[in-house]
Amino acid sequence: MIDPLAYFLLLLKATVLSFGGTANLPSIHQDLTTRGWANDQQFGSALAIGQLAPGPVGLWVVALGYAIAGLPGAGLSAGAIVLPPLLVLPLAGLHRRHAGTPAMRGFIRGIALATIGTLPVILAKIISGYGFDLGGAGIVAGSVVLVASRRVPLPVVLLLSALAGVLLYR
Amino acid sequence: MPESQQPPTALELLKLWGPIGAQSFGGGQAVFLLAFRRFVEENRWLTAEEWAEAFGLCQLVPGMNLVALASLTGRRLAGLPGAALAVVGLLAPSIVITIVLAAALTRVQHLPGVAAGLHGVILAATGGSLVVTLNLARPLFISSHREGSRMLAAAIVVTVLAALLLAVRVPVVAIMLGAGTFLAICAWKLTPPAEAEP
Repeated sequence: MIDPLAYFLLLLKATVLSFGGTANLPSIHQDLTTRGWANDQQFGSALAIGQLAPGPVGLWVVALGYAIAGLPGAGLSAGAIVLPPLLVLPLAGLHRRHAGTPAMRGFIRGIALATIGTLPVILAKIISGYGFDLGGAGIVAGSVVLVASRRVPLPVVLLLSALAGVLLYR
Repeated sequence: MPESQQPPTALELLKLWGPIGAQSFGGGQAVFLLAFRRFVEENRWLTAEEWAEAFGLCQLVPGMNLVALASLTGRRLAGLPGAALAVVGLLAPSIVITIVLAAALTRVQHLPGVAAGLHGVILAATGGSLVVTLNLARPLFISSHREGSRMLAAAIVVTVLAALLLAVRVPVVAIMLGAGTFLAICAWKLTPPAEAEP
């Protein structure tokens, strides 16, 4: 079905140009959906599992790999997201010479801004696949407010949203 | 200056990062604080300066910052085995739980209550991602503004253009590299050289 090596390299490419969390989502979503290897539903579920499971949100990719190709898929995903941050080991001695230059900081900032521009578009596309309605907009808005306030722990926000989902969509 | 303790073995690092990783709901600052307490305050394996330097370096590499931090501090304290076992300790429990959860959900996803609940969580996960994106955007726009109105304009143009280019199916990697290159040139041309002070 999927080409394991290509899958691994696509994830690696997306992660090398990301800063953790769901920042690799736009690139992975574009590459896998155009190849027909994953659909919006699988992305939606994987993002939800990434939030529900303890540990870094970046592990959402492991849930996606499992949905696409079982345990081997999960293993390939894990490898692809663990390798890029390990670049810190060879870079530890090198960084001082280049990291501080305005051009280098501009480059990193440009990549971050491109992520900020594209991520909401991808997220909107994924949730619109579920059929978007006023109640759904309410859950998104409510979770934005609760998460941004930092007063409510994330597991509580997720539990509330699950309850709201059951009430709205069952 | 506090006397530093005997450095930990690789195995101790494995055991130390396990609970930190499992507690890190949604990642974020709380986890870094927890790790700081263990490494700097309680065990004094690293000084606050060493920690800050490692932390700064980890912001520069791609992917999960926590993995970079665990591997870097692990290598400093217990060599390459220390780096490897710190990362395993950090991620293995969470990866196992993620897979178990994914497997469990595929079994029960057809039940109407589960599908509806998951729908709610997906919407909340979207909201959470939006907050993270906004939190990231704010300091970038503030520092762009501080570097002058032209840098701020460039940052806004790059962000909006990225969304538009995605809509017409330009490859994401091309958008990101283009944005990075454009802002690198802007920063190089528009910011005064720091060395120019007397």
